[in-house]
Amino acid sequence: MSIDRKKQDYDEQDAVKWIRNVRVKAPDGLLDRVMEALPDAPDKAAGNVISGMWPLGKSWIMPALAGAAASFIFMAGVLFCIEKNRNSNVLVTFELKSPGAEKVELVGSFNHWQPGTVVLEGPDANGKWSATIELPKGRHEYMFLVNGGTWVTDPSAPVKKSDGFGLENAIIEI
Amino acid sequence: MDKTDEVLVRECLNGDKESFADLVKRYQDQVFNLAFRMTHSWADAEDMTQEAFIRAYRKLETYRSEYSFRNWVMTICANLTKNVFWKRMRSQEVEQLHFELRYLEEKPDASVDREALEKVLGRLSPALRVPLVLKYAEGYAYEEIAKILNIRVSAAKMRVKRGRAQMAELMSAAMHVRGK
Repeated sequence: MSIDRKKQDYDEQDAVKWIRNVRVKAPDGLLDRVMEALPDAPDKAAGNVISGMWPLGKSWIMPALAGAAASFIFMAGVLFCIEKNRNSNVLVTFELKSPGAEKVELVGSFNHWQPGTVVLEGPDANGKWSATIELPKGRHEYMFLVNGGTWVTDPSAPVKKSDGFGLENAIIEI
Repeated sequence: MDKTDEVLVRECLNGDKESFADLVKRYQDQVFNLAFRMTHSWADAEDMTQEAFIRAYRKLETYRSEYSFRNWVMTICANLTKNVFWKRMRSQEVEQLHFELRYLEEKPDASVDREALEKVLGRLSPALRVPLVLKYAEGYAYEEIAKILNIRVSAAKMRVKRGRAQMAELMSAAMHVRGK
């Protein structure tokens, strides 16, 4: 084939043959470096905090009478905690003026930088896109993803921070 | 028999951190290949690969088993690398890659001139290079490529098609120059 030195014209089939040969191997020692840098345990997902409070094993079933009362009290406590937690969240509206866009998404630390989870509605008559989401109190970094490929820093964000790749993440404190 | 990804993830979540090493071993080449094709830089690709696995481990409780672990970690890597990727695509940067042959995976077809291949690939836009490599070097389906790169399936198909055509053109041009 190949990059046959005698041949001077190639077609797409040649291209496919070549591409099949371009895998690269991870550098030696990468596995060790990853394992050394791992935290002790994965982060706890929010939902598991509550499930982790739930008693396990048969001891939960055995004392039936006490269990009924305890479960009632326990559930009331859990519901109280959930309601309290819900109240500590804040509704935040994100807006971007981008009249020519076909799609605008919001990605940030609150959705693990995963596109596709928050899609802004719009554009309105002024070319503005917006989305209102509930966020826990604290500091969050985010960017807009326009048309699935262009990363845009929120021009209205009062605080921004370099992302280390030549762009800036917007920061919101709530 | 090898444990499935799902079993390994469950073991990690149950406190067996070493099970994650099996997952890294299983997919580090693919994740690194993706990062390298996106950044075209060994150093950046190594950083992105390492960071992608660390993030995957931290967020393991959010992983859903109906989605393949391989595609999940590839998606994390693609998102992490996005800024390097788009910045270079915008500037249409053409890199002269000093390729480190020791990292190349050995293939039975020894007639392939790997250095020439890499130079031609380096001249291809990352928007075409990445889907092309995922499709033919890694064997991904168009639907998987679309998910990993957050593009439509039709766009993935179009980019692979355009990538094939440009690759053939670039290689023909290179050989014409060489032949003179």
